[in-house]
Amino acid sequence: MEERRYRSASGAPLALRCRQHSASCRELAVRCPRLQLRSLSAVTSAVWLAAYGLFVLCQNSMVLSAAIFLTLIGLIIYLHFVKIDQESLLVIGSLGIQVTSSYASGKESTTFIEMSQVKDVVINEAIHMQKVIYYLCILLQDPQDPQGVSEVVPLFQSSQPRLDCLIEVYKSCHEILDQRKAASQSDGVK
Amino acid sequence: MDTALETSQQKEKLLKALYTLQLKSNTTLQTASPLLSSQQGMGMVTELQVQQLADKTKTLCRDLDDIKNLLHYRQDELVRQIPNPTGSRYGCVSGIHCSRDGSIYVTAEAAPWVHVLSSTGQVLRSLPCWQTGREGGSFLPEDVTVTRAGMVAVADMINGAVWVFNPHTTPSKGEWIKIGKLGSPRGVGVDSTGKILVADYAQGQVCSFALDHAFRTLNICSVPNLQGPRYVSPAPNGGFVVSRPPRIAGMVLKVFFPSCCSSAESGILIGRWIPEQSSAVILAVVHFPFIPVQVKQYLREVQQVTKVSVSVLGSWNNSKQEKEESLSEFLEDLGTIFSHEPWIQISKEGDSKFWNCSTLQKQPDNHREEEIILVYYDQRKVMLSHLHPPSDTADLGAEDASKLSAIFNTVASSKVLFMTDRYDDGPIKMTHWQSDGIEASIIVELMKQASVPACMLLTFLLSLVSGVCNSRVLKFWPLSFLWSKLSTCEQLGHRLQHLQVISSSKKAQNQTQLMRKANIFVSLLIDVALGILLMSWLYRKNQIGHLADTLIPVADHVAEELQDLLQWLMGAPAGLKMNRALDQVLGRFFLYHIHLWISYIHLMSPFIEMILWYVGLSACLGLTVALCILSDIIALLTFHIYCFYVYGARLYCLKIYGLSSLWRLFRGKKWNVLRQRVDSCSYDLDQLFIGTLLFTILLFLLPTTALYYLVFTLLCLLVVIVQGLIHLLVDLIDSLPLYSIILRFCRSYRLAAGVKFRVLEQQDGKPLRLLMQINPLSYGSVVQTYRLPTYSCYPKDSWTSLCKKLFLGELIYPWKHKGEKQD
Repeated sequence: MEERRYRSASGAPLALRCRQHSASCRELAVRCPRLQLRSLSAVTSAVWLAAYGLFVLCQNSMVLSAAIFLTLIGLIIYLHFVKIDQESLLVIGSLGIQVTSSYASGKESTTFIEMSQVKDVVINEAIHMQKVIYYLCILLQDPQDPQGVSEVVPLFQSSQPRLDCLIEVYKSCHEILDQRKAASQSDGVK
Repeated sequence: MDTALETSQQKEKLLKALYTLQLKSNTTLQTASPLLSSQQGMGMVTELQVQQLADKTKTLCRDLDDIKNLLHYRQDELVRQIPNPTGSRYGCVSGIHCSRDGSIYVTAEAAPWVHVLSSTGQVLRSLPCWQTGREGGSFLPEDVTVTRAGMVAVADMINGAVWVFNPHTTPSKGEWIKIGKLGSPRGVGVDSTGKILVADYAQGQVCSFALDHAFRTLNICSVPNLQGPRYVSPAPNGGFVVSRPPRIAGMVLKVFFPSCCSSAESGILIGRWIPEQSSAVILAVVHFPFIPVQVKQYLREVQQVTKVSVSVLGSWNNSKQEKEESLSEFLEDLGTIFSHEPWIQISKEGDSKFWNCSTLQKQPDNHREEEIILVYYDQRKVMLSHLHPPSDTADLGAEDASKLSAIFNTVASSKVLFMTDRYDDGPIKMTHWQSDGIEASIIVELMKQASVPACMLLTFLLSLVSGVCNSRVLKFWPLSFLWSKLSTCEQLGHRLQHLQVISSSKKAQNQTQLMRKANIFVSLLIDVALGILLMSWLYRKNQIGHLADTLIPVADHVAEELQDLLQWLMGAPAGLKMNRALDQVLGRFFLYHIHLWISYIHLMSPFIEMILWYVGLSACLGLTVALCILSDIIALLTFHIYCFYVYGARLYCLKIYGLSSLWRLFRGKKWNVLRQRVDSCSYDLDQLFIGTLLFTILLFLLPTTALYYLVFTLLCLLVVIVQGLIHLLVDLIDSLPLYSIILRFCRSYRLAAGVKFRVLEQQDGKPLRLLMQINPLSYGSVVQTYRLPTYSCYPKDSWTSLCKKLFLGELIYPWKHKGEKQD
């Protein structure tokens, strides 16, 4: 289990942790930077100052309680639905690939893709505004057309690691995915 | 044409030679012909003969091209596929050897024969691999070769020997002679000096020996330290080459173990083996003592009922104290009674978390280290849950069907297996999730019993009601028109349909139908409960009286406001100058209408309270009905606004059409109805004069009509928006799948979007341990999947067509119901 430091596409520091559970099972987790106390207090004080200014104008104390309420609700919504703490990829050869995003409030949203649906794992490049960003994605097999791709599932969307981190993840994934190809080929030959 | 390779090659060579000859001779002849023609009678070559030669070579060159193309396009036909002579029962072909005379010797994986095929694929003869004599028995040849003397030699790994076929023995046609005691010979070959080479897989060496006429081995020498040589082939100068298969893990074996059986006593495992995915789904553990015959019979019965191929998969050893040697041996021997390939052995020591899991393979030729993954699953949750989207097993084959749905189906269909608990006195004692006692709920049972007569009563009542509704009395024109316009009747009809669905005595076939019924039932219940709540609030403290008292003043107030508005329009609204005469006419016309309306309202005022009281009673049918009634009351009270809108719109529409037609006349054009286009037309002078006059009049009267139209359209739209909001609320209550949402909240494992795996603690050397949990569906997809269909449709006009209609003065009906005739 090692942890290495990388950077995201916007420059924030990330940490990649690679854990090998067995010969065909590997877990890769990218940890995003935590919520900064600085930005939290800046936003809260800005909202409260604005509310106090309004209170001074209209002398209605409801404004102040509304501001407090709003800040609390906003923080809860942000932590539970927006802020992603860690994105991980669990590759189990011959079972499938599991993609997990864990939010700052502890909620985890998981998707499991079976190995028979996975065609390949590739690094794609996309042009976003003025820059070119690389992202890792899983290509899903089209059941009707063996050569076609039915869906593209992008990974690590909120942490957006740079190419060097993606190459590490790609190599790790392919070590396990290639085992299954070799197994299927040897079965065919036999 | 003959496509045999050799002849084609020869032909090609021949034609190539002819081609070059033709080229050369052509040039020669071309240069020579003028000379020759001038020397006539010399007896050499005449021009005619030169011509004939040139033509001949041309045709031959065309043939050459044909051959080339044929070779190119029919290349695949040169490669012939010879089918496996043993068919598909014995596995695929493994050993192959081609002798000098062109005949092919093949052996199949598990067939005790050596087949001799001709080069075209016909089976010439088959040598059965049968050992004669006292130790008679067949053996399986792995690899085959032909010795210098012309005798067939095969390698037999299971018996550890090389067999040579001697065709010259009497009296039989030939017999196999066993040579030597080698370790595990897998590959055999003959080198350039005539010695036989044997690749010994287990011992990792290649032996070579010569055979004398008495079939004794001479000059045995071996090359050691080769890791697992499989096939051997001679190289020139007396050497040899070997091939070695890589040590890759084969298909990983997955064992799905129910977590409720973790503390069960030792026994045998029963479940389903899915060979395409190499996974074993364990359903229960059968304990000792048992009689194998009874177990097999029980499994056959279960198989018949559930259509799931349940069989004995392996053994489970839970040794609480020290390791019991005798038990483990006994369990191994069970593998021979219940033959299953592969035989899974799971053993647990004491309270250790890490179990030993191994498989026993009958065919030891699978020299692959098989990795085993142990996946724990909660049997109760997997049995009760439903995967979304539901897979259509009719469409997909067994390979395409997702692994997870196969596992879920297996557990869900094996309900019968889980019906016996440990208090039953059957011959077989099992452990599964219900073995401590079958789960049942008194409420559910009571409801099931009560539902049958209740359904019958409801069906009877509904048939009465629908009979009354469909009677001819209510189908006369004014009444049917009224029913179609009132939204209350639509809602009541919708609810009637729902009741019919619930009260039908047919059991729900599948999951979606069951959920639909449950959703309709809960929705109706909540609706009626809210309606009764509303009713209790209305009838308390004489709220109806208050409502009736405020209704007339509100209507008066609205009428007064409208009168003020019209007075404002009749003056100079917003500073615009209107046509005095038309203004007065329209204003007085609308004022008279309002006056009529107010008179009617005042006429009805003593009866309003009574009407409202009785209408309020209908709120017990549901909140949606009450809301629809409210919407209808609003429509009735603002009927005059709607009338004004219709008048204004028709007037405006007429004016616009007149204007457009006269504008065309002004320009000298006409609308051709036949051709649906604008054509030029020559008008008479008096037509032009009258037309221009009318055009000017209409044009200058346009602002007045347009203003009235605009004002009343806005008012009408306001009313329509209010009605629309009420209908939206009614739709929401109608279509929300409350039962599904409550189920997702309370028992989230019932609606599964998929699974998620959690990696548990690992230990080196033990199999990989995973926990499979159910990933519930998100609330959004629950609502989307189980939404109930509603009867109303949303505005079908896009914004541009709506604006166009408004501009032209066409009447708009924004909230049309499904089934109404289109305008």
